[in-house]
Amino acid sequence: MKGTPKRELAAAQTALAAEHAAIYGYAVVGAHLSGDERARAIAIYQAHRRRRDELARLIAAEKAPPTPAASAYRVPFAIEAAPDARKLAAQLEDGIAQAYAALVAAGGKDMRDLGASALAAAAAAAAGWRGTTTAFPGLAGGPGN
Amino acid sequence: MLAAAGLVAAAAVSGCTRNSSDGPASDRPSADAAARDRILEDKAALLAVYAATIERHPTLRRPLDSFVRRHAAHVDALRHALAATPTSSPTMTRRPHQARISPQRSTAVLTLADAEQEATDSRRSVVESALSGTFAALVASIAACENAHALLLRAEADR
Repeated sequence: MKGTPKRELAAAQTALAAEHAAIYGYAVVGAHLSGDERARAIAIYQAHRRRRDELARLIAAEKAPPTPAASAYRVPFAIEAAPDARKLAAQLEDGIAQAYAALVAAGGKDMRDLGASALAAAAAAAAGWRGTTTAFPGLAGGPGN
Repeated sequence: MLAAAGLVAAAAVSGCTRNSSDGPASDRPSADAAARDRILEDKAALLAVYAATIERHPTLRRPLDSFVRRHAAHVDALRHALAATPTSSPTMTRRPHQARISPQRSTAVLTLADAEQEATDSRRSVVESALSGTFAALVASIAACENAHALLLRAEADR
C-alpha cells in the first residue's frame, strides 16, 4: 500500500471486516450442506481465510491495527436446510463483492489487483450458489442491478 | 470512523457508476477513454459470437438471453462511464459466420465460456492502469460478471 491515502486503508479495513463475516458465515453454511456442495463451501471458506490473512498483512504493513473479527455475528435468517445455506452463502459473497469493489475504487495498484481478483471470485461463488449473476457484482446501486 | 469511511467509498462507487457526470473532464484522461473504447470493441465481438451461436442453436436463445442482456447493460454503462463519448461504433463489428459455430450444442456453449474467460482476464490490465478509481471499479465489476458467466456457461454446457 505504498504512498496510499487513508481512503484505501479504510476500504481495506472494510474488506477485512467482510472477510471475517464471511469466514464465520461459511462455517454455518458448510454445516448445512453435503457432498460436492459441502466441499465447495469448504474450498471457498479456505479462500476467504487466505484473503483475510493477505489483507491483515497489508494493513499491518501500513502500521495500522487490522480490524479484528467480531465476537459474534447475527445470521440474517434461520439456516435450517441446504437452500437456506446456499442463500446465506450467496449473500455473504454479495457483501464481499461490495467491499472489494470499493477497495478497487479507493486503492492503489496492489490493492486494486487484490480487490479485482477477490471481486471476480466473489461473483463466481455467488453465481455458483444462485445459478445466476447480476450484471454489476459489487456495485449495489449500479445499472442493471 | 473506519467503517464510516468505508461507507463513503462504497457510496462513491455506486453513485458514480449511475451518473455520467463523473467529475470534470480533466479528471477523465483520454487513456481511460481509449481503454473503454477497446472494451466496447471486445463487447461487440462477444455479442456477435452470442448472436451467431443463438442463430446456429435456436434452443439456446432462452438460456443465453440473460447473458446477452447483461453484456448490453455493460455496454450501456461503459458508454456513459466517462465524459468523452466512445469513438467506436459497436454495430460495425461483423458477426462471425454461423458455420464457424460448432454444431455441437455443448461445444458451442464451451466456446462462449472460453470467450468470457478471455474477456475477464483481459480486463485486469485496464483495472490496474486506470487513472480513475471509479472507472477501475466499473471495469472490475464487469470482469467479475464475465467471470461468473464463464462458470455459469460451463454448467450450462454440462446440462
